[in-house]
Amino acid sequence: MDFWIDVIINVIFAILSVLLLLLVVAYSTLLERKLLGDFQLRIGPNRAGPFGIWQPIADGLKAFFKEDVIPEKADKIVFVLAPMVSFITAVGIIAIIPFADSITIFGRHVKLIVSDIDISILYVFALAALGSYGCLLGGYSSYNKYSIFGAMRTSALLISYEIPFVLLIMSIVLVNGTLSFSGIVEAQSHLWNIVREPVAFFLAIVCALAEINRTPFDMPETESELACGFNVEYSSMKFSMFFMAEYAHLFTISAILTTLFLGGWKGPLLPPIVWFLLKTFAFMFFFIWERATYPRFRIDQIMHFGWKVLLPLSLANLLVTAIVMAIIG
Amino acid sequence: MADKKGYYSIEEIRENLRRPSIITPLLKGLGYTLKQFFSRPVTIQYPEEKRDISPRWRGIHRFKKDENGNYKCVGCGLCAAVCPAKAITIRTLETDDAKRIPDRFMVDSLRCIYCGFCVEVCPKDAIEYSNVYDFTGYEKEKFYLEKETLEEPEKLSMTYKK
Repeated sequence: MDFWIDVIINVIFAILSVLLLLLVVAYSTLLERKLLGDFQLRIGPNRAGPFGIWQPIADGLKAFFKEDVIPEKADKIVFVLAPMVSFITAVGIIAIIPFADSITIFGRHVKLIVSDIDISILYVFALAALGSYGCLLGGYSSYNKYSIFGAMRTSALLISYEIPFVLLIMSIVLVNGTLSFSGIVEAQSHLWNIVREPVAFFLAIVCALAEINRTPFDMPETESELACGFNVEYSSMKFSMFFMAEYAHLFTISAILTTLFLGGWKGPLLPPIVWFLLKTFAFMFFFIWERATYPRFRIDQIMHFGWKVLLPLSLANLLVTAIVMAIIG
Repeated sequence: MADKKGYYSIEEIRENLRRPSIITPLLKGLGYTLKQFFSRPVTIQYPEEKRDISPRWRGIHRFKKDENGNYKCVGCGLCAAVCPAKAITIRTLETDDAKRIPDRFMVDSLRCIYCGFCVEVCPKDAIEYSNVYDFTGYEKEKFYLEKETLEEPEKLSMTYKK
């Protein structure tokens, strides 16, 4: 009986966190448009409701009622599957993010984390690697030269930047001695990892930008060169699923960086969930801010930067961390 | 510069290290955009809010009346004659007390190029430009502006309430 109550609570919490993610995804599109407007001395969307708060709903409805076109020569199964792969892998990451401390409901402790697994970091990278299949399959199955270019560039970008990202996170693992996110949050009770690993923090932000395909690394959707990149043939809800996956990645990567470097939900005075959301939205603000600032790299510059600068730096960071930990640990 | 194999000499590496780093300009750029973030938008909410325009703006013509409520125009036809776009149609009527009044004055606002010759040439100062610039319509007939409409061109301006 107790077991089933636990299961029910867990299922309810899982549904709630996915709903939260979808809400954040919908409104981060509005947030991005509003903030970009502010950065570019414009006002931004403000027609649908006060401050444009119904804009995401209007956008969603519009996408829902659009005609769903599948190109004649497309690989139909893969074409339909690709946006789902992209979206589900993006949403799946929310499962291992600790939102807050455990709370007590009906006399039992409930952890505010959908699945508190010991190998959170492995899970994150597994899903991130799978997520790139969404872009790749979508681009490949469309039978379009632009989309295949976008897909190839995406996979090249993700392979090049996943390696330094993993190496940087490995130094965090060395410092904190655990692969689990709740363990990493616990290990940062006294000192945040940003103080222990400042180099890793800044390099990880760069890698994270590449992971979620944002400017200056927005290779899959180089609008000016590839029309729209890997999703050029997609329309209607399939397009919106790619779009939602992109913004879900924006939220989840911000939450992951918060957990890894800024102490997760830890913080004085305010309740944990508020701290968590504050830090996460600070990262999201930064990602939008830098999008308003920087132009895009060329593909060869990205490769050059990834392999010749980021990889040696992250290796050196890991080496130094390992030596220091061997001496003091 | 690197040699053929892509290696740099020690001196070149030292020289590169002395150069200003790439990081500072990046941060400077972020600072600049943040400054823009906290400044006011330069755009306006157009239909509700309209841009201040010059008092000398060449908008739709105003067909002026004198203090007695009669048209100032005496129907001399100079405006129609000088109009390079042939946008003005004017027909004069001679009244019984030997006064000349405009029977019809029509500006084809689709043809008008807003050059201002008619305003310049008018001996009675009967035409001037108003500040109305957002005048729209669905039918072509709407753009043939008769003298009754031109008495108060402000009515043609687009109004929009949210």
